[in-house]
Amino acid sequence: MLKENILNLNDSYKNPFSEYNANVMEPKTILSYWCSPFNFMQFAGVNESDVYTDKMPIVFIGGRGTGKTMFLKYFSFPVQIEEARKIVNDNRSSLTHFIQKGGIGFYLRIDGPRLRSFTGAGVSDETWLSIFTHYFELVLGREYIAVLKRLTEDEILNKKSVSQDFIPKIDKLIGNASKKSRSFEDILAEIDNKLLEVDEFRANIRFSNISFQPQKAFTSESLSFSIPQIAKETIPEFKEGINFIVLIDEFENFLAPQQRIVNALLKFVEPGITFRIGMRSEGFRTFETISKDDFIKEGRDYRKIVFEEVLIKDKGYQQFLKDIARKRLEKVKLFMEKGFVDISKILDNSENLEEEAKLLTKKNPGKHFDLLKDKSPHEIKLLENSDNPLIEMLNILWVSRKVGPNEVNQSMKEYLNGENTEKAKKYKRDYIDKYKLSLMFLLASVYRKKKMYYSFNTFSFLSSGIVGHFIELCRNCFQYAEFENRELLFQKGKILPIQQDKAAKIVGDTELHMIQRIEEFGDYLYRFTVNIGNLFRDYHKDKGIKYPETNQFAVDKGAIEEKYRSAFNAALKWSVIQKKPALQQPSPGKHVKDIYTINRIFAPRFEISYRTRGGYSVELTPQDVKKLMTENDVKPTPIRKRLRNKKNDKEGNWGQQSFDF
Amino acid sequence: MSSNSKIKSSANYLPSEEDLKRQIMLTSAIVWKHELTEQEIEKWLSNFKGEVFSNSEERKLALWLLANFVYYNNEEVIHLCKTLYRDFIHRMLSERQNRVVDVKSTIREILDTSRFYYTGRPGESGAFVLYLFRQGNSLPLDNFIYHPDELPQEISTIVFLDDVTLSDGAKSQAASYIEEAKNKHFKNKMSVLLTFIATNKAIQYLEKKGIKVISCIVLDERNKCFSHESNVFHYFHDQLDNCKIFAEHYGSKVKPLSPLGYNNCQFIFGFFYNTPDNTLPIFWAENNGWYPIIKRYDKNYAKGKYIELERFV
Repeated sequence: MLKENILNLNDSYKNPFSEYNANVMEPKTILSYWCSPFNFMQFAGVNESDVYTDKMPIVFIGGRGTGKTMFLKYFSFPVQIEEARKIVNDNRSSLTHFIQKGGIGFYLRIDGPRLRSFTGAGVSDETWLSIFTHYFELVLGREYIAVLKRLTEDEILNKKSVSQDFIPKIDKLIGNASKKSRSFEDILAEIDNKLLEVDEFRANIRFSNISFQPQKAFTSESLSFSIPQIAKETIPEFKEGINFIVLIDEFENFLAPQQRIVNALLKFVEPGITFRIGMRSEGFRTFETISKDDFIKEGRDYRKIVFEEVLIKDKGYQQFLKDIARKRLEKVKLFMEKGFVDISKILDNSENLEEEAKLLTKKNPGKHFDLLKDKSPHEIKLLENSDNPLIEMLNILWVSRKVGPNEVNQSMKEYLNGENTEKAKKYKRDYIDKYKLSLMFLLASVYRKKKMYYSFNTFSFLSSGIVGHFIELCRNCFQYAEFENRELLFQKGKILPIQQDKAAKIVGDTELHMIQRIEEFGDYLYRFTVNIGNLFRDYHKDKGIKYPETNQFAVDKGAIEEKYRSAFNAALKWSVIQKKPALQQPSPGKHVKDIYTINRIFAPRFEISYRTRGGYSVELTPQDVKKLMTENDVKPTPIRKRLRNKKNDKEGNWGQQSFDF
Repeated sequence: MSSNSKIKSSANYLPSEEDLKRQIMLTSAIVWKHELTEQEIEKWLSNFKGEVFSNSEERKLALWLLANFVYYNNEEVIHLCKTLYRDFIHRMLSERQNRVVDVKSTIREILDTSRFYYTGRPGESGAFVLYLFRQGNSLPLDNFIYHPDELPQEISTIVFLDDVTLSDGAKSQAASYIEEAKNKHFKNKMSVLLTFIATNKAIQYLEKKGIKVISCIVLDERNKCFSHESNVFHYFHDQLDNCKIFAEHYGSKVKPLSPLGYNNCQFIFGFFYNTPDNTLPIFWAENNGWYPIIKRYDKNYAKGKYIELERFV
């Protein structure tokens, strides 16, 4: 009975993965969920202390949900002061924390609509550039002052030196004519008034022909560099090597002229001030600075760290995910008390494909032998292994590749008996290393059922280096578990594969539909994803498993027509597709090219592999890309026909291949 | 009804069972505070044995009704209590119109001359709602009546609390309780009824009897599950008649006199502490081997029932 159950429920339970948007998290929550990726992965030689101390600006690039905001916010003052409080007892000693860290982070995020309002309405680009410079300087200046105010109030900074030396200089800098002594509140109010002038102008310019005439205009660096400079000159504590770290989030939202302003600051950073920028892939709209003759260059003016790249290729990624999950699981009293804090145990570390195959074929075992209609019952008998349908599938594959049933039978037996023979080794290589997962996909296709997506390993692959995806997968499967089998979750700390599978499919579906909501090129990207996903699915249904687990493609991006290239860039920006870390040679004799993968979160939607094996890439021409973006339901040539058309295309020739629509 | 004579329901136009369950799961996590589980739902669905339509169609119809069930959890009930209190103060202030010089002191005066009281009997939902009302609005105990016969002279307004006021005429329990209380204890006092949910008819009936009614939610034909204006079948109007046949069939097995709820109200809502009998009985009935999805604590007026306790005597 429902009500009686309620009495037995652990009321304290809350889905451990329900909070996932760092934008709305309180500093304490950020701190409690924080897992340092530096503990698990190599970030192109950057370590945690470099975030505060490296003079060179660093640009962190990653898709939605990769954890950029969490990362930048962690280094910001509000979170760091919380961390300092956890370590040291008195406020004054908090200073030591910042000295040890080597800097204070000033977090800045200006939302897209606001940024876009600094354009048009009959105002020239040059004027908007000046107005935005003025605005940006004020916004950053305000952030500096607000943090310094808090540091002073908390007696982390010496009140006397701040009020006697720092404030008067700042007062002068922002243009206060009055001789009266002022406070931080007065300065903040003054800055707020100046920001209000900008806001009023932005609002009114749409309706009337007015000009922007601030009481005092600020040019580039006038506050962003001067305030830290004054702080260093006048506040003794800042002489001890505390850097001003400007953390700018969602830089991709900045319009090109606005990026030029920040690019100029990156290029000309002064000692003690530097920038950490978070943005999506392809987030740089321009590399120019205010002076159009000059531009910023990776390596010379900034370092670049691509989150998804690091997260995908680094073996520490799974450990990082486990740590993220552990922090969340520990927050649930029930799990903490029972020790259910290891996500890889809750979900099981990896799939059990043999069991899955048995379950899948349970109602109609042996149906897969229909693939070998020309074989006699005796021959089929030689290929049977009732305990393992995947082994049977491999046998079918070998026979379809013209290996005799007797030889197949012999190889299988030697492998299963653990013999150290060439046949057994080859069988093992094919089964374990090469085809097992492909055979599972093929088996599901034969039975017209869907492959299941479950286990921690699968979820980590599906997340495609995007921590947010992993959290979303977990959130959904905990939700299903709670609803469908609460006892198992609460008492044994387990979630069934079927619930994990439902979560994976729901998240995949949701993410796919989200593509359509992308403001620019959403329709193109949706069509492209559906079409390319279906193409990959076609490969997974290939009975010859010519190219196992194909889910990557090669394209010469530069050759794509401009409009579709922009859409292609948007696909990268939104992590709909992901570029593989390095240029690869698609096949012998071909030029190295950029290889792309479809985001693996969509894998359950298309019933394709959740991992990227590499080896074979479908080659797309610029025309293919256009077609895939603009036409619905593009039907590729059936794969067998395609393969037949390829002369000299022998097994094991892991080349790149173009395809016909 | 034999399986051959089953009516074709075309319930396949409704969302799939999987989608409906997912929707219920999401609602369960957010609104029901995880009180609904799939096991509970499956047990409840096992009541429907394919007597009207095919088993799968009946499951879908039942899930559709459950997905549309409105559940008021603890937080929402507290919110309703706060809303009622604000509305009460607002109405009292607006009735004073020009006499309000200072809002704060007028509110104090309203509270000084008013006392809150429950409808029904001790132990019924009115008394529980009164308790939540006091908690939700942080009101002092002095504003509540403990000894109705020892009411101070200056008290001019008795504010009654109840959760639902749905019936009118002779079936109006609120009217009979309040009139009884007035005659017994509160002669010449103004009566105000604060109720979470009411129907227009019930409000009109009580207002005619001189009882002011303040309600957070006023129900009309749209809230009646099987009315032609029903919100539940706004998108799936074609399913309305079949779903009514289905609910009536199973409802009559558990509540033959009111298969679609007391007074044929056809509502589909409930509170975390109880479900009104005006709600479809297929949700809450538990006689004849029926497994309810939400509990209803029936009022047990028959003294004879206590005989079951004789073994403890």
